Amino acid sequence: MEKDSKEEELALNIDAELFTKEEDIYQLVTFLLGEEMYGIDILAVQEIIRMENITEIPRTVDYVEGVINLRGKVIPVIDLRKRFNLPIQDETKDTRIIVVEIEDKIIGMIVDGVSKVLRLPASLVEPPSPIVGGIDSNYIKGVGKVNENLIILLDLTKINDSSMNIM
Amino acid sequence: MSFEIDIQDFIDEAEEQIRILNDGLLSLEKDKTNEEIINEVFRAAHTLKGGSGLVGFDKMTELTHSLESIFDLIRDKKFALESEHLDVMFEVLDVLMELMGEVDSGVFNTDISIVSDKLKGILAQTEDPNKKKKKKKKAEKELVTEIDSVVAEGLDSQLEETEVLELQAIGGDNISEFIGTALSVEERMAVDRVCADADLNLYGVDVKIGDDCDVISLFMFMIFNKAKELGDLIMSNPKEDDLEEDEMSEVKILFSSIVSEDVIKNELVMPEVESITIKNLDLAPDPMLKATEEPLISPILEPKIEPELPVIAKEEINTEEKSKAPAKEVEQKRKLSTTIRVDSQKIDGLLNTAGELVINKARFVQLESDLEKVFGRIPKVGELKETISQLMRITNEMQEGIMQLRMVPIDQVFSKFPRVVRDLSRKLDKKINLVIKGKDTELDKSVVEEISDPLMHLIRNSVDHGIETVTDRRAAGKKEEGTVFLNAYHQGSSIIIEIKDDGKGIDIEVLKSKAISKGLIMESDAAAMSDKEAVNLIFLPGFSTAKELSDLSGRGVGMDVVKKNVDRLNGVIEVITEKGRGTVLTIKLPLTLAIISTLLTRVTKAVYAIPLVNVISIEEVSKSEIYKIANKEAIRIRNEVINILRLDEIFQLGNDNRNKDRVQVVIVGMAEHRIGFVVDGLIGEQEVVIKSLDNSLVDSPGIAGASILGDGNVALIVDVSTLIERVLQEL
Repeated sequence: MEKDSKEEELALNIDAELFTKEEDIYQLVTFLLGEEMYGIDILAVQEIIRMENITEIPRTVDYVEGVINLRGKVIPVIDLRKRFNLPIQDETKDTRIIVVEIEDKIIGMIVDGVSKVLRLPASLVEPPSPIVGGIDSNYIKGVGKVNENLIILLDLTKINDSSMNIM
Repeated sequence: MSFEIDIQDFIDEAEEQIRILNDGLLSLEKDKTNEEIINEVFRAAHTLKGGSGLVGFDKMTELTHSLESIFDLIRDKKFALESEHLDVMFEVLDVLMELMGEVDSGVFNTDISIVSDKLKGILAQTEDPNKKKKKKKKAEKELVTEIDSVVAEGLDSQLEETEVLELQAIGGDNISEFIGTALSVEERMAVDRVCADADLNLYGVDVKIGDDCDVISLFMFMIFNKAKELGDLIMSNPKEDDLEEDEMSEVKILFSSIVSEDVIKNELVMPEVESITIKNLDLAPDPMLKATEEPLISPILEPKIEPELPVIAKEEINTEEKSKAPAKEVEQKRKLSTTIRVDSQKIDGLLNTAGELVINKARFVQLESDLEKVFGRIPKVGELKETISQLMRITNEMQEGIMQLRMVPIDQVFSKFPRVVRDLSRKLDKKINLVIKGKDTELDKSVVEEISDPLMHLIRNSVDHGIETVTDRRAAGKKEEGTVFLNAYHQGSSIIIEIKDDGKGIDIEVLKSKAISKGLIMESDAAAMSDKEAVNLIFLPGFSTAKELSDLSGRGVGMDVVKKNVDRLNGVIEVITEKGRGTVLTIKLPLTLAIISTLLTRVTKAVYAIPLVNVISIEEVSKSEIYKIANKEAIRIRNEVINILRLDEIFQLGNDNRNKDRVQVVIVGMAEHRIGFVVDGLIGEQEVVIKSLDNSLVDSPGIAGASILGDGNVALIVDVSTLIERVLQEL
């Protein structure tokens, strides 16, 4: 009996360890927008594509650039700079569209450039202060620090939320 | 897992049986002694009872058991069926439908006690031979528990065998060869487990990534995720955790899955992939393994089959007429071999792929004409032309073939109506004969689903407001029994549905005064209105001619909703009525929603597609022919004044065509309304695959959807009905 309970305890401990280990690490895709580096959950990212011809949709909010043809699917594309009210910049050779899935909807986000995949321990992430990098803290889940660089963790659900438009 | 599949099978089967019950009861109402139908109903109740018992839907089992018992007695002529019994049985049917709904919703709270008691009341009127049956049921239950224990034992023995097998396993070196590294003990054990399982395949995947991939580690991550979605990851080289450190451009993954090689290939091929090799390593297992595999499988398989035995046994105990039951089974088997049941999502997926093919086809055509411009008519271009025309033919055939798969007979909707008309006419004390024609007419499944509610409303309307009461009909010198005639047939690429009644028709004058009193139109308008225009008043929102709202046709929806639904399906609805003689409603719908013929137009730099069904004509007018009425632009075409909309203006694309001397106007129509769209150029007719814009971000009034053109760009489809409505509101 005693042995059994000990084994059980051990199993529990291992479980707990695995659990916290996974919980503790953010897996992020990072990208640039102006001077700042941003990170989004890797699980939300479907793919990253180069800029292509965007068909404008009339009478939509200004940050919606239009729709693109993603291998037979028509998906909306938004300009993250416009979304965050950052100064507008022309497209460069580094400009990319990150295709993400947010609450079952697939959308593309235009960013200045994609950097890399990153594992970020949760201990290095702090809650957002009211204004970070000029964008509203409502869009931010937290701020991570890697080698003196700041990474702003975005809350994707807020980006697709059109009720946030008014700001 | 297998449980879920059983439930889905049961639901499909049960829906069919309930339909048979419904049809049977309706026929019995006319001919209460038809033995063939009585047998049919009995069998349906019996099948339902068996099926529901197997999946554990006790309420359904209880009801169908009583039904079965009653019909058993009727069959043996120990009980005479009366109309009042049928009423109860129809109620039971409704509850059965509700119970089916429970399976979908997952909320199991339907109260069956009322109908169940009523059924038992009928049973009590007869002699009670029930006890015998209950005993049998108990015996069945015992049988089932016995089998359960057999299954459990079988699993145990399987476990033991597997352990033995793990110790024996030594082969599989082709695996470590493929993966390029030695397997650990755990991994080797996992491999053996997969090889021993007949359902699982062992796959080795070798992916090489092209140089133009931006973030290799992200891509690798996705490959791993896909593999995990498809099955269980056993091992990889390099290991998943190491991926991010060294950016490798090649990865080998070993995983197990039940899906086929093709599925995996489809899932894993992404634009970044340079080359991909998929090996089914399961196909050539060690002969030693194969030998031990056989005896291992058999003890599991046997109990798997066995749970079905009690059903067959039950059938033999319960059905006195043994000869009939097997005959039916043979019949079912024959059916099974010629039809297969396919998840409609799979067909939709196929249709999507075919849509892409159509897009590519258009792209080829464009390429060919480009090449001809550059190289002239050289032989190779001619060859290309020929190949493309072949491709076009095959693509068209394939697309049509897939469209055919989605076609279902309109009977799926029509079959609901006899019951509705029956209930309604009883309630309203009218005599009504529903005649249905063309129920085999096929149309797209999605259209069938969308048209069901509007049709139901129109049928209710005909019964409720169209057909008069028996006394009224007698007074008018008509037959006592009114007729509602429902017909469906194809006309070109459209389907026509007619609902005709020989009732009292619509009184135009009453309509007009009603519309005036409701403030929908002005008195002066009414006087100027032709009868044809006036009839369409019924489609205005907020219009209802019933003196009092009956709970039957006035369920908060009116004809305006019907019209809106038909409009949304790119359809047209027309009313013809003659006072005292009856009304005919005609609905014209496209056969499919997935592909439409459009007129492609250019507006500034963008391409807009206008559904061809709405296009009436194309006109070229000079600037001077456009004049203004009440600040709105209009033109006169063959003595008809037509308001025009400048698409560049309403879509806010910048006013390019304002200063042109001559402009092209596409005249579009919906019902009797006409407006003109000013465009910058016409590109041509094209069939396009509709892609919905199902994201609130790109929800734009006046845009019905998008489509992909031959050059890969996206064209927007103009929502004609919304734009016409807008013009009408502004007038």
